Amino acid sequence: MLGKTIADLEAGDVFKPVRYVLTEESVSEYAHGQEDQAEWHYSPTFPYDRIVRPPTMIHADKMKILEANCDLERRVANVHTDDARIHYEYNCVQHSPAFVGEELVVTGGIAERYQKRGGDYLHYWLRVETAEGRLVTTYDDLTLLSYKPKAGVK
Amino acid sequence: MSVPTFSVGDVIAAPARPITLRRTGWYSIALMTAAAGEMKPIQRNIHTSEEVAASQGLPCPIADGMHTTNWISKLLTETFGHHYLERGALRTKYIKITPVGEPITCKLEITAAEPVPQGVKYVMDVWSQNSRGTKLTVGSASVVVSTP
Repeated sequence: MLGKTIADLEAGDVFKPVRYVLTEESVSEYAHGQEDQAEWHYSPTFPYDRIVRPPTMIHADKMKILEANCDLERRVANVHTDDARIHYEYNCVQHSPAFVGEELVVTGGIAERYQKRGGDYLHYWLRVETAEGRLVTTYDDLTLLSYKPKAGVK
Repeated sequence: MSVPTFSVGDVIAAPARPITLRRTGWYSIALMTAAAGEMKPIQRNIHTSEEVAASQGLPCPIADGMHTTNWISKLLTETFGHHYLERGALRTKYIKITPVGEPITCKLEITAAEPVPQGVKYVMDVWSQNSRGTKLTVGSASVVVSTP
């Protein structure tokens, strides 16, 4: 735990890694949420004969690692701050598929934080590998922190 | 999966579909379930609730930026199959909000087809647009299609 909210994160912060086993429930629900009917997200099928996750599930990995590290703002647990965030940029490179039943290790941190045109931007980096060390995904994410809801509104 | 041969300038388009509140709800369940590792209900926020959106000064709920990224990624999967899962890249930037209810079309346009040792690398522009043709999410992608 970093003892921080997301808005407290700084360049150079390194997250405590998250390890978890990829489940059929999480893959099929995520695929359903993006309306991807490819059968390999729901049952073992050609060409892998295993259930494979959609590449964009890296976004759930970002939530997982923030949940495990920013103990003052845990959005999955519904612990929010008043600050609204705007996801600005998604940048994902897929190196190999990730399959249900595999243990995944998510590492990451803050590459930079900067001000531009009045905005406060946070640049995350993430890396996902299997427990055996096979690289699955690398990811960069740019989030605008400084968006504030209207005064007096929560 | 066999992939057709594409040429520079080819455009691959998904059907136009409105992002409805039901759809933002599905994605809320999907994201929270995947992040939590257990089934989660819809979170009430500016993406899923008219009341919350209004409380934030928005005229209507707006789609999570990831919603159009997910739809573009799905189009890449449909077009390039396992090649995208093995050697694919996708970069998107959210340049305009996507109001719930807006019919959205996602497109890919091939900008380069380069021979590489494994086969051919397709590079493309990607975007989502509304019914007036205004781009809302823009970016780029690449996929290496390996040849046997």
